[in-house]
Amino acid sequence: VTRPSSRQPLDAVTVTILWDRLVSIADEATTTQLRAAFSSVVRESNDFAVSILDPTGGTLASARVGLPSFVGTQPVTLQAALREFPVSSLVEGDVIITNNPWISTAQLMDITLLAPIFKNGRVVAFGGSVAHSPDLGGTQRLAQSADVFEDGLFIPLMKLVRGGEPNEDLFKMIRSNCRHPSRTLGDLEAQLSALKIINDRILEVMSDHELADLDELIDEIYSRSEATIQTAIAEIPDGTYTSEVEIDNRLPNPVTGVIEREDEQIMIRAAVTVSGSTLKVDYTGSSKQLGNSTNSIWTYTRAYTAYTLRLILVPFLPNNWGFSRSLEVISPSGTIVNAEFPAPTNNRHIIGQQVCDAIFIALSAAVPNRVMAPGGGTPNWILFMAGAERRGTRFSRLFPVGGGLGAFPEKDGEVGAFPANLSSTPIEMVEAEQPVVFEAKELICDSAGPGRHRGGLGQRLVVRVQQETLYTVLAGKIDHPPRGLLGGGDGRAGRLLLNGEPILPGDGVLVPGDLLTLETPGGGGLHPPSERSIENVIQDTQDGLISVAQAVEAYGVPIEELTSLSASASDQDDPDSL
Amino acid sequence: VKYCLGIDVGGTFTDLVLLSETTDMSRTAKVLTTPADPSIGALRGVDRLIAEGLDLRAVNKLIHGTTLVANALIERKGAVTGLITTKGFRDVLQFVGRELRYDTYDPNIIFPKPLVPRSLRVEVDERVDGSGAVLRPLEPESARAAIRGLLDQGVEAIAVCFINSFSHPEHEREVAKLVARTDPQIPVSLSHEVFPQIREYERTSATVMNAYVQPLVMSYLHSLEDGLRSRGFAGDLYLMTSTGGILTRETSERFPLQLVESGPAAGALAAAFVAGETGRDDVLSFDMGGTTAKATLIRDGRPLVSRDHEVARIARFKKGSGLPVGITVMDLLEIGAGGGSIASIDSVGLLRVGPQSAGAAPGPACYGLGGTEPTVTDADLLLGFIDADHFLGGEMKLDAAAAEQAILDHVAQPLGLGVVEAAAAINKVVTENMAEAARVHSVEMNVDIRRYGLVAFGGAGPIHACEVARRIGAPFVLCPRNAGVLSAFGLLIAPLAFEASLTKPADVDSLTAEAVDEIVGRLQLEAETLLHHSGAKEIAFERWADMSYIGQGFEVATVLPDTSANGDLAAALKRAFDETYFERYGRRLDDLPARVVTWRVVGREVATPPVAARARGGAGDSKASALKGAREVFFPSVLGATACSVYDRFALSPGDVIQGPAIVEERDSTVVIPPDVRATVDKSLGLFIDLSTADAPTESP
Repeated sequence: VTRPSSRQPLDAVTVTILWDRLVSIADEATTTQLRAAFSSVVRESNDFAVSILDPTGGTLASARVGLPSFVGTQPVTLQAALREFPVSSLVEGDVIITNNPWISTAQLMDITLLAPIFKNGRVVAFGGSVAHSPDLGGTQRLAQSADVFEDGLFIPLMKLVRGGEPNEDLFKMIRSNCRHPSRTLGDLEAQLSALKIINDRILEVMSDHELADLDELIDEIYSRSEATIQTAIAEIPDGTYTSEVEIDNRLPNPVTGVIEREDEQIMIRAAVTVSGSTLKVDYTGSSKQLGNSTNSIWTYTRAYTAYTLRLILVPFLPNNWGFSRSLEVISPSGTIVNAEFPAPTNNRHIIGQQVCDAIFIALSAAVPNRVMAPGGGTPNWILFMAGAERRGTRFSRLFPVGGGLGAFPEKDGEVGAFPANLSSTPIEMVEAEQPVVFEAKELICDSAGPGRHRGGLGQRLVVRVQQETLYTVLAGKIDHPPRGLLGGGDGRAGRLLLNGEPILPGDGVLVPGDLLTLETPGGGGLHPPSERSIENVIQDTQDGLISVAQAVEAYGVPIEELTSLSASASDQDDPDSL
Repeated sequence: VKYCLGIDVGGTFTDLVLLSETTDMSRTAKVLTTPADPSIGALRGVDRLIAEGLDLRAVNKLIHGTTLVANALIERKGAVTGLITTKGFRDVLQFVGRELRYDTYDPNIIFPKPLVPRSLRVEVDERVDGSGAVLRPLEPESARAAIRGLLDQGVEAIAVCFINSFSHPEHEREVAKLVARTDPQIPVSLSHEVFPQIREYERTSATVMNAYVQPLVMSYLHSLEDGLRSRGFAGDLYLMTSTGGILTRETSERFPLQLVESGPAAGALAAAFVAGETGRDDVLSFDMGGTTAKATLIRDGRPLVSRDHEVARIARFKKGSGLPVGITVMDLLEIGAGGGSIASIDSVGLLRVGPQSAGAAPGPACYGLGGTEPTVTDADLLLGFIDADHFLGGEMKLDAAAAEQAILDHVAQPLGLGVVEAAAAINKVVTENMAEAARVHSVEMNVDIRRYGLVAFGGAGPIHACEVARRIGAPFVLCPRNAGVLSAFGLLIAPLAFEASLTKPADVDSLTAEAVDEIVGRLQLEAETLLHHSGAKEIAFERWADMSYIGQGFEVATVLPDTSANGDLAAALKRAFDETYFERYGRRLDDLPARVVTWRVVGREVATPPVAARARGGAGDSKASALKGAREVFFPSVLGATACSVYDRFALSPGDVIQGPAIVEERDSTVVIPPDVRATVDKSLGLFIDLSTADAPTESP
């Protein structure tokens, strides 16, 4: 039952309060989900997102923390779900589930749940939650799956809960397809409790403000956001801006065991066209999809494209569909940015994250003061280890290793992961449980791309095992270092060494005595290094972040300015001082 | 007659409360804080009490709360500090904790700069593994070279933090000895003493902070105590810690980081006390002043604690943007920027309030100190909540015209509203923001906030309390009298307390009662020795284990079951953890194996607060009439102006009932009682405002 349109229009203050309230509800649901989640991937690595969506599938509000890609895929998933289950067929208490990579996050490990919110018999909004599952079966040799079926259990769009009644058959199916069912099902419950919070709080707000539906608020939020974005786009000079990002091609084809298309450059090609207040990104011309899991899918490509554009255009605008719908993104099927079913996609982040670089590079010509340089945290470097714990039981551990982020628009880059915001694990927590000793976790001198704003520094992680351990390293930018932009220098390329010898990313076994060294790339610099203040160069030299040689050669600081520096700084010059 | 004296040095004012230990006599004083050397202001306050007839020799016990440590960290005014660490790990501080961007959408994110620059972070050769085994013994020559290098660069304090040192502290101790041999004047902070817990970033951060503030705290306490002794003080000097306990000067100088939230902790402790006096044990303390609004959850009469507290945040309300203190601190959540919060119109044309704040300088437009942006205080003035002539007891006359102009220019015109409507909008938005922050936090703490009443204090707390309370569904608001010096009062009711802790990971299955007794016994002895040495007689202990299910990366504090009881300790501990986990997270994971990561023993002196604490207010001044006038007030929930009676807080007597709408004024705070609710004056002269019967959201089952 909807009220006639004779009601009072929402005033600006009420819009403020209601909009803030929606974001706050998403935050509260996030907290609820985090509290109940078992998985440390979710809890410590931020691998989740919670949103409130409108009845047609647009995102109304997202929580302030959460993975940008998951924020971006939820509306896509809901729109696909509504084609399968039209809104008129849904009943109160329904919860839809899927991990189909082609309509959600481009990877089976992430589960999306969506639940309609009913008021007076009508759907007024949806709650959405995505989280990386602790376990959905599949191969543990993450770099080696040959198709999506080896990645794990595939859940098509289904109802996990029907009118409040759990779909026991489906729960049973999930339970018998994972190695640690209590964790997987526990985290599903955590997602369900987040959706319940969204449902209850939305209804509370509606009753507090005597709203029969949210339609007018939705219009207000979208139209205000859209106007803001269009203004921001209109400030970019019209034109088509292009870029090419070459991707490392080091992962063998899991079937043939050899690296495919070695003679070809594997490329993301982007063309960003700005015309008035419209913006289109076209990835036509990007390389054909690979036979290994280094492939993205359009949902994920689109999500990170939108995230990057948001950072450039309207970083502080709360996320919503008013922004996303203003963008057109073309990702041709059968390419690395949009692989066709049934491609494996465990490594989708390698491609999907580097579209951010493509956008930054393309727009650096148009908005030089708003771009970040490509960095060494893109794609994320991740070390997986599996073996016997100190106590004898089996373990598997995901350990993100940050790289030097590209120089920021207004400052130097930092150390971390980008665009996914993964956190690392304290090494003492790892060592307490697993027979591993980290010999070093330190910044690499001279690894940052020089510039007026220099990149962040890459880091060196040296791992020694005390017992036999299976490892996988997912990495990028070993062959193609992070690029400097607008006159800034490139960052140092990443390196992966076993006992001092370069090795390829992928799987392997470490035995006691082996030394595995990960050197993540340094971030690219922005603007010519000659524009950097001498004080900053001297400070970096004093701190041992750059050598005297780099200060002189890359930044052109006269050697006399540096002679007074203490000997302790020059001790750090040797990057292999370990 | 013997007295105890509390001195609370805050950002703007230094408050003193003197209580008799035997009679119900009490006295207060308020002087300006002297930021350059806060001991000057504190002694000025003491001199004022002396001038009023106090004989300092009669003061048995003096308890001091100070913002010195927090300020030194925020303003980066600590000592030149050196850090000695394990080879390969000088950058633990530089990796900004966990490499996590605290704001995913800020393209120019700024991380806090380490307190110790990279050139003063030196490595020595030594290594202990995760099981506590020494892989490489400390190389003394490398340690001596590191120490010499730091001293040559002029460091004034040294922090030592080795990887896994909590399981093998000997290497850190050796370094301390070497430093003492080289230069005995240099204070050394060892990580296994400051914060003997797992997680290298947090432990290094805590140790470095401790070292960084140590020289400053030592010289400050030296001059304060000298000043007091020369005025005849012969009693004991104690300092308030961040958990709401007190410590001796000696211990405070060793662990100055314990003082980091000294003042705010006293406020929350006092809120817990005054609520407890009226038989209410579950409350939210709500302290809103000019520059900040803080909330603390108090459950069963005790403030909750936090183990991920940060100071000196880059972005005020963003978790992860500050320096983690590691140590246990009272759960003091900042939910707003206080009366100085600035109202503005954002990029989508909507009203925002905060997080920018006009602070104390230039302050709100109505202060007339040059502020031109509209703030919450300006809105409160236009709405009639504050009296322009009565602010700070009339000491500071407010400029209503300036407030009106600021709101007109920056809010009313852009939104097409009248000035009063715009002021009401600012009030609504800030109230909503604070309520939302409190609500989200309560979810995080797994507390049903709708059962919690609000204890409101601080200059602006009682103005906004009822509306905040309604939004979170709180059943009542309690506004204690003398809200302006409540923190200083809190100092006087704090017991001697100390927490000893140690990371010693163990699977629950493998634990025996003997092994637990050994660890806990050692920690208990440590706390007991220190507290006895500080003068405590009877001590009560709490024993905790921080536990997790195996594979989880976070721990939950669990009360240790009694090890002397018969039966299987491992099973009892597992049950205790399963229950605690369920209570905290609402989930049962009983079938998963668990482990203990860190052990803690909290020792607390068992003592009765001074008599006067309970009869704090004395009787009301019945000679004067409480009703002192009336004015027009614009309640945001009501259309148009409401005629409102104004009462003098000090003329109210226990049992008096005030029907809203009404305003109750005291010297430095104002209580706003909205229409349809009723306030009762309780026996301690607190105003109890019952919201459960009014037109407020009712508690759901």
